[in-house]
Amino acid sequence: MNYLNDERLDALAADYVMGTMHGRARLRFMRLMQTYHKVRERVWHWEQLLAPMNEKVAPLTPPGHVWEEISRRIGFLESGLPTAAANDESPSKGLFAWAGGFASAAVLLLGIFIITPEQTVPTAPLTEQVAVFKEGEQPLWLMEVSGNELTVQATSAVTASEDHDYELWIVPEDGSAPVSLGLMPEDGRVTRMLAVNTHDIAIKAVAVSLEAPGGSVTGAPGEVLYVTGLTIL
Amino acid sequence: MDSELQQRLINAVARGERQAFEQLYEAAGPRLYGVAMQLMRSPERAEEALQEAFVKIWHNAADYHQGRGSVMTWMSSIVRYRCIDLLRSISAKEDRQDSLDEEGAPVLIAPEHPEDPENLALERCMDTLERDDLQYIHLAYYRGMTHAEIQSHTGTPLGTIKSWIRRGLQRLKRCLEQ
Repeated sequence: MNYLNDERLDALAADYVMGTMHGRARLRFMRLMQTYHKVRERVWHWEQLLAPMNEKVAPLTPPGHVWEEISRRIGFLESGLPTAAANDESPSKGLFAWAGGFASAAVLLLGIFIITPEQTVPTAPLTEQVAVFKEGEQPLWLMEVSGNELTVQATSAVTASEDHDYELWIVPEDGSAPVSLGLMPEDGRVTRMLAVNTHDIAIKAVAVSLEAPGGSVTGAPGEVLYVTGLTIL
Repeated sequence: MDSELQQRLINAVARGERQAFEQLYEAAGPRLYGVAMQLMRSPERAEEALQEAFVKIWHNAADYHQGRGSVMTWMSSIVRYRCIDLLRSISAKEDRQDSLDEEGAPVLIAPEHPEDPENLALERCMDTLERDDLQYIHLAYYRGMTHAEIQSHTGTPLGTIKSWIRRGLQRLKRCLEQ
């Protein structure tokens, strides 16, 4: 089926924005959005056409604990809120435990940690750098950063799945929480602009995690699969 | 919240300014929580969707650009997609039909700024739709129903629902783009 036929694409984008597209069709379409700007643009157009429908929904003030929970998940309350510190299940604690346990995660993932220490420049800002994620000797993704643009190329060795997505993270040198750079392609190549808040981060490593379709909703990585350093081109 | 303020706030959030994020939440939270409640019909689930959406807004603020429409449109889409994902995951685990049957038609109000050109255009174009097309569009958009759920809810054959929604949306699009 030719998804990029204009009429067909328009109908699919409308289905996606309405929410009537679901299951595997929705996942397939989300992958097309990642790959083709034309598909994303059509979705954005429908979002804007239908947005005035949201104006007809009565506003409701959310309960106070909603903001507290958002602050806790982002890490605003990581040190000041006793309940978050006391709760082992709290995402922010899990996130810091992940960052703190980074060395042991890398040890567990021996064999897929490829770039040698001499080649890595862990404290350099994100400009003109490259990383290769491998499993054993098999390259999976090539990641390049040129200026503020990130390009990721998937190899044929990447296993695509309807049930999960791969997400790219930078692990800051200063020990702060990992920052998402978005979803990894499962085939082909994607290029996107780097978020402004990543420009000046000194990088300890980059990592790929396994996430539910659409990526992490907590802002913290799930299961970390691959970790590597960055090399200046 | 005017669009200039939204733009300033989202730029500041992209730079990691927490105060701006809190201001954005205070300004947009009630409207977005309303959208989530309309879809989820449960305070707990609407709160979960809103929390997850705002975490995503914080992490992805730098991805916002004017091609996405207004900041409010972009944020509303994030909330809606999170709600739809949650609804589909609920539907997969339990029969949502009972709760759908209990609820009536979507509760809609007059827009806060009915004189805005976008709101006027939507009203005008909605009036051009067939009654059935409009009903199915409302059930999908405001209630988050799949075609199959609309079929169970209304008793209309699946193919009819699909083609009427599609026909209605295309008619709406043509009218709104004029």
